[in-house]
Formats: sequence, C-alpha cells, structure tokens
Amino acid sequence: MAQKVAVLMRKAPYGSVYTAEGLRSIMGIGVFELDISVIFVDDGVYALVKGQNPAALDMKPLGDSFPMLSEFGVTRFYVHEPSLRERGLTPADLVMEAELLDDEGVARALKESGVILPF
Amino acid sequence: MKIGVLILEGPYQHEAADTAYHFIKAALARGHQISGVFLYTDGVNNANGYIKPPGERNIAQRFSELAGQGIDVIACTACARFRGFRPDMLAENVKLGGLGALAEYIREADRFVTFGD
Amino acid sequence: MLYMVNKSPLMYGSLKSALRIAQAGDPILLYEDGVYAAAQGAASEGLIREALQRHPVYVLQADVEARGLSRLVEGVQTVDYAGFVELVEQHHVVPWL
Repeated sequence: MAQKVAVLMRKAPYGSVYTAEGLRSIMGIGVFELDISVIFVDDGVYALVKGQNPAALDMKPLGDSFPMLSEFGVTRFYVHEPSLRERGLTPADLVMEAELLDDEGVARALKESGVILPF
Repeated sequence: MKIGVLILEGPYQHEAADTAYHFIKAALARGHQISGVFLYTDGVNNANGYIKPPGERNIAQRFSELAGQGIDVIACTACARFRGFRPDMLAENVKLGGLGALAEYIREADRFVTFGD
Repeated sequence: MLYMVNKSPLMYGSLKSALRIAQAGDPILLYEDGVYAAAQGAASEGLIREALQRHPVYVLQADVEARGLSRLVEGVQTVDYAGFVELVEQHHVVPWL
C-alpha cells in the first residue's frame, strides 16, 4: 500500500516561498507512489482564495494550481473551517471544493497520514 | 527504526539545521537508521562546501560528515539552481538530486521529521 | 501524534493553533524559540497550564539552557535530544511550523 503523506499548509502565499514550494513538492513526489492529501489550516487557507493576481510582483499565481494537482493523483483536499471563518472567508471564496474539517477532523486527517510535510 | 529528515532553512540564519543535526546524531546514537536527509529550499545552502565560519561551528561540514558515514544527504537540484548554487560548490559526499529522493526517504521511513521556520 | 512548536507564543499564534488541533493525550514538544512558552511568569503561562491539563508538555533542554530559562512552568518535562528521539519513536510527528 502506498505510504500516506499529508502536506500541511499553514503559511500564506507570496510573502514567503513555502506555499509555492509545498505545491512544487506535491508535484515532485506525487509521481512516486505516495498517497498525498493536502490540509489547509490557519493562513494556509489564503493559498486557495479566488482572484489571486501576482502579476505586478512578477510571480506565478498559486491558487489555481491546486485544483490541477488531480493530474498528479492528488484528490483529497481538506480545509480547516474555523481558519476560513476567522479570515472572513466562506467556501465560495475558494478556487476549489474541499472537504471542510473542524479541529478534530484536522487531527484525524493528520493521524491517518503518519508522514506530515509542513509548508 | 528508519527516520527521514527534511530541512527547509539554510545555515546560521535559523536554528533549524542545528536542531536537525543534533536530532540526527541522537537518533544514530540510539541505534536508528536515517533513510536520508533532503535539503530543500534555502536548506540547500547547508551543503555549501565553501562555508568557512571563523571560530564557529561549521554546519556544512556537519552534513558532509554525516554523508561521509554513509547517510544519504541530498540537496534539491532545482533549489540549487534558484540560488546560484553550482554542483562544484557541494560539500564532500553531499549530492544534488530531485524530489524523487525525498519521495524515497519518505517511503522508506518509519518516522519522518521536518525542520524549518 | 507529537506536535512540535518552535515559535515564541508572544510573537506568533502557532502554539495556540497547535493546541487547538492536538487531541487529548498528544504530546507537545516545545523547541527552538518555542521553549519561551514554558517560562514561568510569562503571559503564556495560562496557555501552558491549560495545555498541561490535556497533554504531556516537553521542552528541549539545549534550547532552554541556551536561552537562560531557569524557571519553567511546573509540570513541563525536560528532554535532551535523546529524549526527543524517544518521543519520535513513540509517535508520528506533526511539525507545526
């Protein structure tokens, strides 16, 4: 059975490299028989917000890349609902549908994986 | 047990590479194997063989020594390119490699620990 | 799961956030700047006392000593790097970076 990996996204995009590298690492390791889920908690939920346009920063937009991860076999996306709410966001503000989890749900998703890659 | 390690920060700027090193040494002392150490993002700078800190701990040398003991220490090729880190700058025994190496360390490991900011 | 926190709780929300997710019984390891959370008399003391009701809380000795923290909140346990490894033997790891 493929090793389960949870990529835990807690940081906001653009201000630092972590969201971009988290994304790149998923694409990089996703082709090597790992069962990957992506969990967005705290400022990590900002990575999924619609309407990102870093053109003036001459950076690549990140949000729209997450739905495309299905091409790498990654289909389990979880969003910590309280983190979303605390930022004045709703699921309609996100670029993709993701399963909403409460605190315990996030703990369970992490526990199911064993290997956690934090970005 | 087999333990895999990922390092996301460079030397001196952050304690991550220090903590990772002391953790790895302690894990080896307790009889564990290290499935590999993957240096990612600024972490690749821990593999710079030109690091010569006057009168201070040499972080690159630490990882070079671990690699010399047969532990796989690999710095991300793409991250190295992003940072102008040339292959000839690598500390002895450390190699460049792709994310496939990280995937392998994860697959082989019973535990996986990431050190970063 | 071993939740690892490496930020000062007076500068960052990561300890609070980790404690919100961690389930009762999950050990918490404070290391690097995370050890400041265990300082007796700091504004974070209440948070740690609350955490101790639900979790074993550990601080990494080398980081405590480096920072000159002599008085730790009662109930917080000290581990050296070998103790850190022992925790990793017993639990999968969640680095709450």
